[in-house]
Amino acid sequence: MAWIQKPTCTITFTFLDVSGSKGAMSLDLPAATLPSNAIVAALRAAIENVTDCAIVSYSLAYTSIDNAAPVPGAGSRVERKGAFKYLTEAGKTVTYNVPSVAATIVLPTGMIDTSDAGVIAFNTAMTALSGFCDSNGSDLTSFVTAYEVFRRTSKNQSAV
Amino acid sequence: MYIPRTPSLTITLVDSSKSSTRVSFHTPEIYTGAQHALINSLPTDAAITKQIASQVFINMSLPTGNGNGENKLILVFETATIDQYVLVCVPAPNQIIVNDVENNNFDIELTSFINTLINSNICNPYGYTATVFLSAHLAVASF
Repeated sequence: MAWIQKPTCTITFTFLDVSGSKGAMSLDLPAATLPSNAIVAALRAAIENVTDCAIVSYSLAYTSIDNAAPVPGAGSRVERKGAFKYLTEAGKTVTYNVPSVAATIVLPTGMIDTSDAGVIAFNTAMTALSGFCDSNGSDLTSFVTAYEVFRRTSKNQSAV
Repeated sequence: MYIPRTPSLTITLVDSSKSSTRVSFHTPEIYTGAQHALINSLPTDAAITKQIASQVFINMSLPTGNGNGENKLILVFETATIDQYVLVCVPAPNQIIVNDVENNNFDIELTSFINTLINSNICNPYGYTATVFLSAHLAVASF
């Protein structure tokens, strides 16, 4: 496994025209460009000056690709998920679904084995200080529960 | 005014049937590099092939657009490397810009825009930076 960061980041502007249609415009910038860089604001202002559309939002994305991705485990299926529930600093719960949760950590009851070293490591990474948060930016503070669920996530595709 | 949304980290996974899916996590700050701690600990049988760290900024002024977004201004730039170009496509260019391109007579608005793009170090997906403005075109293309 070797994660290779793309040499560029992508800034995508979402446009709104008079008919209510939305469109997008993407530009590539050097990967070291941060959202806080003055260049981002300058670029946005420059685009606003030349278009009749309104810019309703923009985003920056930084992509890394594994140039030696491991072979998926035998029998792995992305529709079989592990639902991991966490408590946030604000006292709310948030659930993340891990696709093809490792079969070895699913107990006969359908619960995830929380004593498994891999699960402990994952929960530690998720709840580490300033590690991850919910969509409101509230830190995940503690693990609540985890169980197996089945949800469709991709089009039907033959396994062979 | 543009309000930042909570950044996210989106991971792509592929299973043994070659089906793929994505899962997103939120992060307090945008991660511009690999988040190995989480990636390595994800308890999955699937292979993790890609990760994208991103952040969205929303315009809170509830803007209303004008023009037709299917009208496009296409700008072509050269890079310092042969056969590597940068293309920029702007929806609904305003009338001043359209006149400039149609008359091949660029006034300060379009020139300023072109200079801003070059000064912003825009590049193509391979990382080749735009150095010299080459040409401007008008086109109609669906969103």
